[in-house]
Amino acid sequence: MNFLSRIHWAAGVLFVLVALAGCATQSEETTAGPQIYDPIEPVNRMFFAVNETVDTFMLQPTAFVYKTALPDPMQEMVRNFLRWLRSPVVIANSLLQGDTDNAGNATEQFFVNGITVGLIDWGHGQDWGYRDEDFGQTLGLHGVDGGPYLVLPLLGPSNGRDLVGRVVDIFFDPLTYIVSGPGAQNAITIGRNGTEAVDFRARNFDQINELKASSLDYYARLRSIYLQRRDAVIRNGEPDPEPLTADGSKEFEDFTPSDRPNSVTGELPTKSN
Amino acid sequence: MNSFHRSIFLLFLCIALPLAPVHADEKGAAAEKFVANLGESALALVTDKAVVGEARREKFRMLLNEHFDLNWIGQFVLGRNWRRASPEQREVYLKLFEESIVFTYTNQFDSYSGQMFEVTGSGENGRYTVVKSKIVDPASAQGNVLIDWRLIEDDGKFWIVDVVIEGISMGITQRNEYSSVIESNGGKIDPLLARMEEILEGLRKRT
Repeated sequence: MNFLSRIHWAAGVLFVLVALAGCATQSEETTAGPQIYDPIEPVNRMFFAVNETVDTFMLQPTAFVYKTALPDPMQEMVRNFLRWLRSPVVIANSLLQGDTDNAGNATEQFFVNGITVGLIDWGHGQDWGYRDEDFGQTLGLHGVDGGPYLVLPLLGPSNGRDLVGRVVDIFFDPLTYIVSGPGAQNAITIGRNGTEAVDFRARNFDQINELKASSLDYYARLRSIYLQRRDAVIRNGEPDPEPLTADGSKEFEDFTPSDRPNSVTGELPTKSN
Repeated sequence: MNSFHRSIFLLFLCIALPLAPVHADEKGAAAEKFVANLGESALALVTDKAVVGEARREKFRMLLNEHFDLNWIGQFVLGRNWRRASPEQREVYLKLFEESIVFTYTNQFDSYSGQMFEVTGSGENGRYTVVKSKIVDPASAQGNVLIDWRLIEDDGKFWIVDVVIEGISMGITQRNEYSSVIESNGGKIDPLLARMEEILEGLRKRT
């Protein structure tokens, strides 16, 4: 994809999102409980099924070979390199969020690890003390709601805000400008996303399989996990200052077990069970 | 408010303020100890290679029932559907709920690789005490996992009612999942129980 076609693509995505937001805002207010807003659930479930098939027949076998055949130090290098490639986007978004500490630490990492093209992590053992930031988080910090939940083909769970974030982050990425020619651009995008997917799947191989095996409805479980996790990273892991919003604290605040109707606090006068 | 009332109020504040944090600290410290003890017992069980299979599950079940208010959690997870469930459905549900937790977690014991558990602090969140902790992976600085424990207190005894892993609440995740299953089955509860049974059967086979 060359630069111009990327802009066209971005405009297309934005258009679809605005259309989605427009046709589905009425139901939002009546939704009780958790802030799950999934107006195109049937479409999402279809893409989810496709992604699951890809996981079973391609990603999982590849990740298995990767984690068993490739020596650990080389897996570490792949991981370091991917993280290093991401750091310009982290720096840009940290600055947009006014977090100069995070930007500073990420910049230090970028230059120090840059000596070895990002393959070796010279801060190993103590980490670099910066969090991953992206434009979806930047928007969230500035009060933009998640919008409709989306499952992207191959890329997985997302929502309106984070999809816009993904598109904008392309423009923060120096690789977009360094590499020219649509062929090379495509190769890099596919190679990088593919490697990220394999690395992630390999590192969480058993956990993801267990998560699937214990799910009654894997789609609904991942949707809940994605939305909660994004809210948490937008707050940089801090507890919600207003315990009545998206992380579901309100659900706990309002909840009283029915076998303890007289209890104001949810504390139990006599344990009935 | 006239000035007399105000001074009484201020006086009251002066007396009450120094007392309140001390009380909160004591409660927090007790809650931290409670979670730390759970961590130690759990780690001892995970690393004890002599206890396996059903014996290990039995020990885990005891630990679970001593520290977690499963009745509370089960009701929270079922949400408004709890009120609609018959006493029989509730009983079956709570039993399946406990069994699922036991098998889900004991099945993962063997992937333990030297991580350490550390309680890092506590605070009040509305009606709840929240204990903060982390799992430290000596193999990787990026492998640390933050875990918050939500507790209620009953006659000086704590009960855990939720576990939040890196911002993801187990209670809310399951609540969302279960309500999705019930909704897609036209609001009926029996299909949820059947599905729980089916998944549990699968987990039993994975041991």
